[in-house]
Amino acid sequence: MHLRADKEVLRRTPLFRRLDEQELAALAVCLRVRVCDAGAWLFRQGDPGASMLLVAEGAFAATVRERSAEEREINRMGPGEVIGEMAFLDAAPRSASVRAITSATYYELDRDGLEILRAHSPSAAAAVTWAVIRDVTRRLRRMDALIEVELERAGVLE
Amino acid sequence: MSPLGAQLASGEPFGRYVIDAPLGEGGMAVVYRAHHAELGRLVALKVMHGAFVFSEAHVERFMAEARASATLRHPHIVDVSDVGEIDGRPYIVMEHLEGETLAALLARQGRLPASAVADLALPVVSAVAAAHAAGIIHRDIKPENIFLATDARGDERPVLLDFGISKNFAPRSKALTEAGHVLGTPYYMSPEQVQRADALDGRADQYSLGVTLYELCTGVLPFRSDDSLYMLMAEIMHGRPEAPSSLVPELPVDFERVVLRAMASSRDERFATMAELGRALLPFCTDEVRAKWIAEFGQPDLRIPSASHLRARPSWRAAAEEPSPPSALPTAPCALSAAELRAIPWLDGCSDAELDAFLGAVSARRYAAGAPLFAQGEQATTAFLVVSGELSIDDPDDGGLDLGLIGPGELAGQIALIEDVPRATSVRARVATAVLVLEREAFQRLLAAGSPVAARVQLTVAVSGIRQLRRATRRLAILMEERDEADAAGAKSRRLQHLRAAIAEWSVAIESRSSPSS
Repeated sequence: MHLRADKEVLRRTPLFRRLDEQELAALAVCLRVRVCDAGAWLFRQGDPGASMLLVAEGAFAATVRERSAEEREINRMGPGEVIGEMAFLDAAPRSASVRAITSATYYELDRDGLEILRAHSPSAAAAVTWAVIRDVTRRLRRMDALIEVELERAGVLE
Repeated sequence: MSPLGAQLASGEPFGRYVIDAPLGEGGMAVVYRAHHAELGRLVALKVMHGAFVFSEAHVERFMAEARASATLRHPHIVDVSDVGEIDGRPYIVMEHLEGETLAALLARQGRLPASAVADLALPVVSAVAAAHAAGIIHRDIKPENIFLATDARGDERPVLLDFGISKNFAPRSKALTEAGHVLGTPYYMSPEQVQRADALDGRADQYSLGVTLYELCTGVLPFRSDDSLYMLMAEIMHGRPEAPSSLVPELPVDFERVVLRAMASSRDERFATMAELGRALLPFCTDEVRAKWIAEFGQPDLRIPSASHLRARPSWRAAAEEPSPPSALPTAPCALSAAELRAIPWLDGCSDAELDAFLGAVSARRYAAGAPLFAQGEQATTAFLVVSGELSIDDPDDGGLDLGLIGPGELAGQIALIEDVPRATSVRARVATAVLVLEREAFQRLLAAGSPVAARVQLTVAVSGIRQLRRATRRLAILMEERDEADAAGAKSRRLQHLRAAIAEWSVAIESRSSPSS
């Protein structure tokens, strides 16, 4: 059975808030719906980043391997949150591992999916990419502000 | 007379010399400070470890060092005055130097400004060039092997030490360092040395010097995996060091380019000769040092602005020095062809028809060297894609500080495509430059119409932003680590914990940690 992504979930996803109804419908068609049990790994740190994931139901934990070889949890993600959207676009290796902590449903968009979306609805593909760019720009600004604070504190900047 | 295996004791005679004290110990020899028994002159006496004297191969390698050093006469290569063997123990007599190694200097100072690094580097570049001219590759250039000698007047002179594993180019001396033995210090080793130790040329030395320069200007090694030797070698072979300027923001971008080029993982991408590296470093030295070396290395390349320009550059000046056709307008519309767009690698795979369609929907302009594209504070809805030439970014708040260059395939002002914010910087053409002007609404229409060229431009905007974010996150992590070390004794401040939490959140956990830069 081919499951269709729930448009309602997409509508509630902050990253996609600028997509209109038609674009959301096109996106819903191109997402793969996946379910997993608690404890399942979505990917491991170092894996090639080939897709982005949207949590529909359930919860996930992101962990990184410390030098001590222990896994340290650095974030939790729930419904409406998007995972790995940057590695998806720049093809860098995953910098953390992600594991389901409940049974969960998530939607996956890989690069082929993005191209299919572009063929269906170029504006939807562009909107998804803009959404990531906006998010990155916002985070970059906050990161730059923090760096400035740190540099000032270290006395590098006057 | 000491037994072969023992160190020589203070006061013990060794041939015409008397031992004073050990200065250091290398892999197969101990270096002593000694004096000539009759003349009293101080020397550095390198005596082979007793453990090696029965190994013909080691003795031969030791003597090869002696011969290599003895044939080289250069003010910045340690001077060898005598070579021989006493009671079966080979030795080398070298000039005695007061001072410290660059490794010791680095340990004391953390890191050095670009001008100091360039000043130290040029004499060494000249020394290595002289060795190469004599057919000798050093093969183990690193801060421990560069000595900063201080003379009686307090003047400092960098001196290249230890041709211990250097090998003649000439194939007749079937080198002892061949046959798969990996010699040298892994951290500074070139990828070609890591992979196999034969068929090396002088560019391996250039690489090691490049790593040394990287370490001098940032205080850290470009590749420093301490998990295992294998991991370190893998890092060296993949050759993607963090940009020095992401560690030391005030480092001039052009200086960084020189360092990274010297340590390019493919040797064809390095400077062709040491002299070329020397010429590229000239703009960054202090005036005194530049005046001294300009005769050997030639006029600095005009494409690289001099250090004084970088510091307080009205960016005009550098631009004004560029020859530009007389009476050329600062900017004018122009026509670009699909063939010219082919210079941009990420447009590979787009057809001529797709490129032509894109060109038909956007405008193209040429800017003369020095002409401004936009100024900080302006409201705008356009971005610029560089097709040929180069733009420079200035920060007018900072006396025209050069913030970087934008070359073919890179964008300027792309934030204007997504939101209405004033330009954060000023950008001008550094040389004659052709750009495509992307207007927000028109670009959006191209995307909506499914232009594959527009989609690739958009992806490029995304990827460059993502990479900047990864670099920024890493930089912040480094700053916090440094601070953490500084605070190690005291209790962690609440603010630090707050920052930690913030980093975890903004990295969105998944994205930012330890991913490669580019």
